[in-house]
Amino acid sequence: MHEIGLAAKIIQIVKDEIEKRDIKILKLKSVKIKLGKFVQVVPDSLKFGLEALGRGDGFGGVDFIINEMPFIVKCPDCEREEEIEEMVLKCAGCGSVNLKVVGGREFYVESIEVDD
Amino acid sequence: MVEIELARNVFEENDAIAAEVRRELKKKQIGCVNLISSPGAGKTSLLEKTLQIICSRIECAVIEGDISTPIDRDRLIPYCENVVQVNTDTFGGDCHLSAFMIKNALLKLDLGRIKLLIIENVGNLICPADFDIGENAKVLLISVTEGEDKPLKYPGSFNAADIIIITKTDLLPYLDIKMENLMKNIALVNNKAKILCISSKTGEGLAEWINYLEFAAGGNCQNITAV
Repeated sequence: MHEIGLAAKIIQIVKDEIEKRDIKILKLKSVKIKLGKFVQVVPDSLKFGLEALGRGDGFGGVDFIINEMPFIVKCPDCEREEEIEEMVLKCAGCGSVNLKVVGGREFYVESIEVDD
Repeated sequence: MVEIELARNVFEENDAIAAEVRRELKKKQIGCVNLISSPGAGKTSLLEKTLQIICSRIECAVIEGDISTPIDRDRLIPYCENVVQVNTDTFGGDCHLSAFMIKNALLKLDLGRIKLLIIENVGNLICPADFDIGENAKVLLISVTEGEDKPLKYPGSFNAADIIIITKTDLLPYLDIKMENLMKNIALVNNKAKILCISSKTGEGLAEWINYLEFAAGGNCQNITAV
């Protein structure tokens, strides 16, 4: 529901970074984004927002690559770390309910690729 | 082709403003709670009852978030003189409050007099959980009419909560929902939150909530779940 606003933030971050480095916008080829599965953002909607807003900002040919990061929990009782699909905070190893979320909350602009 | 690493957090701007809000509130010794729920779970009804009791004891302020209309501010003004309405339709109709909206709303309050700030977020069980607005504690409300499966369907918001309030408990005799199933589902997605059961209609359970807020007032609510 808020993907367009977040897409606008990403576009702004990339614009800041290329301006800071004096890179011409036409040299920008791709933007890589890391998005944790636990962040409440729909990857397809974010990509749609990035492409739609990007066209208006001169990012027409830029490839927005969204890398989804897995949802990982760790059990402090038996030390088991596992990737899970659904959030159920119960350790599959020892049954503990003290699981901590250690992966899946990432949401950042990882890198950009530019022509030499 | 050259790859340039950026590693910039998409929430960085919001998080920086939220930290600024949190610092300001801490400096003024104001406790701040952020109420999150689906539309119609009973946030404003709970606030009506809460303010009737607490405003004679503690200087409170409320920031009311809605997409549109001052309806909720008008409901609360009879009980609390410090209510600021934030309508997100002036910011493009956002489905959540952002930190900059709170920063702007604080300018309309006399922070020197206030000890407790209650923020009622936009009714939405998804987006508000991802946006830090400078609060000390997130309080999630779920009404018994919403069904026992909601913690599993909205795990992000349930997991983020410091306190979970089950509302409209006076309706339990008329519903098929099983409280033990709701509790079990909450425990699967949040193993740390305090759980309160409240009927704003009858007042049942309100006393414990008021105790929490009295503890939170003055900026103690970093440890709110320790009460």
